[in-house]
Amino acid sequence: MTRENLRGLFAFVIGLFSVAFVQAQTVTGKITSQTGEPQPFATVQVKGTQTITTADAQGNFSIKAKQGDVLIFTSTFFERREVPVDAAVMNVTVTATVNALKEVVVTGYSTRSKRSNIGSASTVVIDDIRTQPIASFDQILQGQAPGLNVKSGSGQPGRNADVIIRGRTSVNGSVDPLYIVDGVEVRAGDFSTMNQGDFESVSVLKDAASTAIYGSRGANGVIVVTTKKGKSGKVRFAYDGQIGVSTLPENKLKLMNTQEKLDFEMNIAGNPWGWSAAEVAAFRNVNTNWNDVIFRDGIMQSHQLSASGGSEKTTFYTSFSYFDQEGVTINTGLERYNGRLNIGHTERTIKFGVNLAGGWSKFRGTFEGDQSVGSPLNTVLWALPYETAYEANGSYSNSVQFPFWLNPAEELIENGDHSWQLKSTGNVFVEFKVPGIKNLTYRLNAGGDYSQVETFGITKNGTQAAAQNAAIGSGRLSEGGIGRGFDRRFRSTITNSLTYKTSFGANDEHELSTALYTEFLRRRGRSFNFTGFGLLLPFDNEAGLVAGTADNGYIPTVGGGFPENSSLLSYFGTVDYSFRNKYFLSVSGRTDGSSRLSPANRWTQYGSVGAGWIVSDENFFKVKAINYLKLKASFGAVGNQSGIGEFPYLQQYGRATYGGQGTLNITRLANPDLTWEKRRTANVGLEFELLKSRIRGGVELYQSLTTGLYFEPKVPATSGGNGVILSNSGDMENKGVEVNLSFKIVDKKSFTWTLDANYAFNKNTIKALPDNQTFQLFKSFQALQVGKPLNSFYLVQYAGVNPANGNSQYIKADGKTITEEYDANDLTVLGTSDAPHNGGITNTFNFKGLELSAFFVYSAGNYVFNTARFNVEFYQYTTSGFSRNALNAWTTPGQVTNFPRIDEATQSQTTRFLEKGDFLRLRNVMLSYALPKSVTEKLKIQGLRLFVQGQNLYTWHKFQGWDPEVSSINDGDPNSNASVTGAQYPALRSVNFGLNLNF
Amino acid sequence: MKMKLKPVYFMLMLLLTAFMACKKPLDTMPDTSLTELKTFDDVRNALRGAYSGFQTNNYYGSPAASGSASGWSSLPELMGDDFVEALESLGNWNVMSEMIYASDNAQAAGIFVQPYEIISRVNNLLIYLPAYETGATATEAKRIRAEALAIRAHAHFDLMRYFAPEFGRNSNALGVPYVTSFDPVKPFAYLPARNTVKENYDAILKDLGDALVAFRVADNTADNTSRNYIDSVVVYAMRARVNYYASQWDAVIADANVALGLRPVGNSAAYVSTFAIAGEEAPTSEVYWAIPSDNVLRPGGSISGSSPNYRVTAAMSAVLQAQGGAYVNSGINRFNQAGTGGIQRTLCWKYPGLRSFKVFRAGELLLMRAEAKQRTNDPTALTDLNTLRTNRGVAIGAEVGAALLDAILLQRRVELLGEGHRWFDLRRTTKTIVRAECGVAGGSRAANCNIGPTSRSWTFPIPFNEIKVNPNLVQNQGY
Repeated sequence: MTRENLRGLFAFVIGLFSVAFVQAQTVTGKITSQTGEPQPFATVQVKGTQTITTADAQGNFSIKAKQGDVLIFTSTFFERREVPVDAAVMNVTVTATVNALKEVVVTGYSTRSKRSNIGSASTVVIDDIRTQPIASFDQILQGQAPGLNVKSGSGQPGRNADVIIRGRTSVNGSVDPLYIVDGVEVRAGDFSTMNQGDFESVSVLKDAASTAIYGSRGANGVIVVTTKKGKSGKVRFAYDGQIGVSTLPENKLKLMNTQEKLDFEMNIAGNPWGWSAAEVAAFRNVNTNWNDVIFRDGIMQSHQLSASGGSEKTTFYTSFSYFDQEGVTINTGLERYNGRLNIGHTERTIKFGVNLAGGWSKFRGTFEGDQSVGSPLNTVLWALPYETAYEANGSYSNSVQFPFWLNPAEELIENGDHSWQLKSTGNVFVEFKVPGIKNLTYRLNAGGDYSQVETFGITKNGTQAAAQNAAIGSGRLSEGGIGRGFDRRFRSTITNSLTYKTSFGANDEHELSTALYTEFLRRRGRSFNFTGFGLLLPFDNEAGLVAGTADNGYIPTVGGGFPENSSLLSYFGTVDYSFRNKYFLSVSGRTDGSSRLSPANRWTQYGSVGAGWIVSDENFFKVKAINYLKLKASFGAVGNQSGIGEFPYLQQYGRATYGGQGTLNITRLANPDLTWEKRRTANVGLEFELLKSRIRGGVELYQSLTTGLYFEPKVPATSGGNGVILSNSGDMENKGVEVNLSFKIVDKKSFTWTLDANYAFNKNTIKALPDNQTFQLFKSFQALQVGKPLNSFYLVQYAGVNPANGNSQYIKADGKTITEEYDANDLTVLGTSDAPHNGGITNTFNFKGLELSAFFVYSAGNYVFNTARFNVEFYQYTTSGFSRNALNAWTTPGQVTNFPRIDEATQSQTTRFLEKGDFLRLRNVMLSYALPKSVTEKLKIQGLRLFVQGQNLYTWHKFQGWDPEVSSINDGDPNSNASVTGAQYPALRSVNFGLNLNF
Repeated sequence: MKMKLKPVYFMLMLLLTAFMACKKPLDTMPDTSLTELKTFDDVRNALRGAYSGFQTNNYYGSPAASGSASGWSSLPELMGDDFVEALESLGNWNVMSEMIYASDNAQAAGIFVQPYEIISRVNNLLIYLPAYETGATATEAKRIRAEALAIRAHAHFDLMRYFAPEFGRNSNALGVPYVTSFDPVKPFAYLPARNTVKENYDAILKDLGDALVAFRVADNTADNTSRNYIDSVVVYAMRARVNYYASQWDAVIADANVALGLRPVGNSAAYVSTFAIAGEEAPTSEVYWAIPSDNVLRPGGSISGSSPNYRVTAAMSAVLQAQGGAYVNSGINRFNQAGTGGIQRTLCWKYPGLRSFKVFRAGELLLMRAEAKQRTNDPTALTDLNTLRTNRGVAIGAEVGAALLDAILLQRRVELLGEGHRWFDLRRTTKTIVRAECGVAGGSRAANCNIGPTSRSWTFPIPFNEIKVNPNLVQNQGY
């Protein structure tokens, strides 16, 4: 039914109403979709009255109405419909939205139709991506929504991603978005033990109006997840499974093979090992490809069984899943088990339910992002191709490089790191209509996120790692040792809310919904760890340790603490108003109190306002090609207090030991003035649908300004040495544009071709620094400068090699003079490590149930400092595995090359090792076939879909390494910054086969 | 009784129960750190906290390959001319031993920052101390004051050794800022300029003098059995070393007399056991002040032990072998250790792994006194030298004049090898390094073989970052 028809009907009904008076009666009926699916829990209202009821789980309703009344049926799952009462039994057919999830925005506290939503929110179509063979849910969000920037970083199974929404808005505060699962906060980056197969909807909230109800927690954007709920009716079972294999991608950092390396050592590097001619001749017969030693094809499989259904009053969803993924590095991988039970029950005016999920995972990993000579992902690069991994008798070969290089095969197979995580999330809710006051609903939602991780690391006695400790004088690990740690965290959220909905005026053209909330959030954590030494007995656990004595020195070390201890208390309210379902206004206000700030500064107040206008519904709007056009705008402020530690305003003394006695050392300087980091965001947007909705899309512009930036400035040494202090200093702006477009290019019955694309540009600018400074040092290789983006590199510009003498040349600070002398005064602020351009493109072709989709992600405009390359081009490391680039090292006057003479001291802080991070990745390509209904009916099943998919099959990039995406999360150097690559775990590249069966 | 609950009350009850559990929901305090020094015991712990700053890798610590500064243990040795960067080196100190650092050098920054961290810890506890300097705690509080002042003087002096361009007692050249205050709340309000070398000496000697006064009040008995803490003997030794750098020879002799009187040199066996791990918990009487290992401190990782990045030069090795005695004991130096490139290495074995670091010991005091006596024409200079030789099992001599001075200086190199002195001695004197074993052909990673007195590198750069945050700091010449 079109709007025009509706209006006609509307007028007709009004006319009818004015002349007729009919006795009220009970009208009953059933609401079904055009395909006959019952539509549960729809709201049924007698137009112009306060008479309202809710359909039950089967879609049955019962309401008192008079002949000629108009019933309004609304739900998030179908289009609003008004039907005049013409009989006592009315079965109503409604038009279910094409994909309900595409049309609603789940904000966590409420669900809004996309039409009435005036904030900036993107809905991720989780059904399309949940099958990606990745353990950590945040990784699969890459490229799915404009403004949602996901750096996948690592191919290590279970590793999480760097997720940033609309640019970095803080320097030292957290920039992680808030993750909400069924109304309960879940720790960012902790998804490897959760099952995305249970997720029903994923929304990304970006602007002030959308995130306002999350207050300070939502300052960096919010990712709202709801899990699947049961529907009443026949119990439906589903099995989803897949199996696949992942393979090693290409490393563009090319290393020398045996012949090249020996020629290089002899002819260019001056025989640094002092090999004799006979030794060189012998080495020439060995050519080890170290990649073959530590990498493999990894097998992956996952299986999920679920059941959902229920009676009229009670519905349930339950699932069990198993996920097992081997990494491409030997002896790494993730195995996990998940279970979930969601139950909801309605009894008269009370609804209550519980959602419970538990997961257990076993992770075996290896170090990433460090420059350690023990990390296998480094030593595989630094290995000598003329040495072997194994001796003839099968034992691990020793290297001439020992103790500054350990056999990576032994490290991965014998020693290594394990962790086990147990995670449980859940919530209970009670919702009831408050008796006595119409349309007033009270809801209590209480939930928690419990997660515990046990870590275990071992250095076996007799391994090269143990011998290394003996050799470099760290006696205690020389006969092996084990370390075990335990960390448990619990965060609980209790939300009380009162919601009041009403409509008034002629034809109920005014609709008002207000809500008041109180919320209390508490985070607690506890951890401990120990390292025991002297693994002399034949057990790879605590039983293998000998008791520590003063003589053997094997005295264990013990640590631990309280990684989380904070609370947040909030009071807030929202008002949503709409007029004629065409003009929308939303206002919110709140106050937040945080335990992380001093009692004087802990409370803050802020709010937001937003408005929307459906232009296409206006009578004057006569553009035929545009069938839907909405304008929206919002403005709001929010405070941030996350990521700053638990007691950043207090001076603190931490423990240490001196001469066997306790000590107290200043670990943090005090800042009693520390307060909230504030952020103001303005957003304007436009949503449109063209050519009868064949083209749908939106454009949004935003600007946000963070003031009172959390920043740990470098303290002058004379005021406390390495003193750490957190201050509110400086302003930073993010502004950008986001575009999304969905185009049904071909829309025939037997063949469809859909293109979905999104693109976002974000420009980050530092607007002010403390004390009117224009410059501040920031992390290794980077600096903050007013007018430049955050994470800008700070390096001396490399200007190639002087052909006359082979010396490196640099550009002086004046930008033109060439010099051969490296001088710190020539350091220059350059490009940033955060990519300003990001996008995703999906093409989907469907031919009679056979569907092919190809999804690309794109990122450009950033730089990466290539530490991995530095370490194989550093002039002192010619004795290790070395870059092929050095075959062109300068040797003779007049030689034009870009690689300086090999005996020149290599300077690290230069642009010689800075590379562009641009890439285009074929993130996922999937071919699937859904069996037609005629076949499934014969098989007596609801549906069967078979698919084959390829993940990360190819990446176009020029970065000299495994992958240009580098995530800060995997960086072992806390002073580094997403931008620098140390040991890198190759990106996952896999092919999987799977099926979805419903019965 | 049947009662109809009004919805409003019902609501209120629910809201109340939701918060019943936590009366003050936002009041939390740290469980693993203190926020102020509340008791005298906290002050005691804070003093030990200042001491523990010496254990860091920027000060006396030195893990084997990381390239951390190790400013006053390994670094002055691997930058000096008695050690050669071996082929085994990972090159992490290469820029240092080739002396080609720029002002953004990370090791130089660590060397600048770490002493000030210790100084700020001391200045902080001195704020809390006066409350305890009366009554029952008075004696111990005075002792704490004495130790705190001595630590402050020592750390400033160590800064001067790297960052002051010269050591004349009355030099107006720029030394380092002498810091005696600490404010944890306003770290950016205090941006001191560099004091002159003379002002540095004045302040150091004042703090050391005040420390001696405080020790006297505290009835210090010089009975510091664990030797991990500073007592008055250590203060005399500190003052002797300060005056030695300032060429104040009479003062050196006076303070060395007191220190050596209370704690004389031990014999050969005692010397060897000083560096043995068994000697760590109860150092021999020769040690004045040692920084304990606590299972973390490895003072000589880069220059000592079975996998050194730096080996002893062939020339120095020949001297050691010619002298013999304790110096060829396998607990002190080891010879003919096979190394990469077919090189037979000589390795200093004083600090092969976890060890306490000996900051002051009688051997150094005796040699400083001998040199001071020789420079002031005191004939007992030879006696001092021969006393040391006898106690090391080395043949005595009968040198006079310039030959005696040379013999004393040579003995200083031999006796204190690997203990963090050589590069400072070079920069006080000739400012010349000639490396015979150089480049890959010489079995060395280092290729910068001759460094003359005009090199800017003899004075460290004030770290680039420090000048950025405190523009009052003037950079040293050449950077």
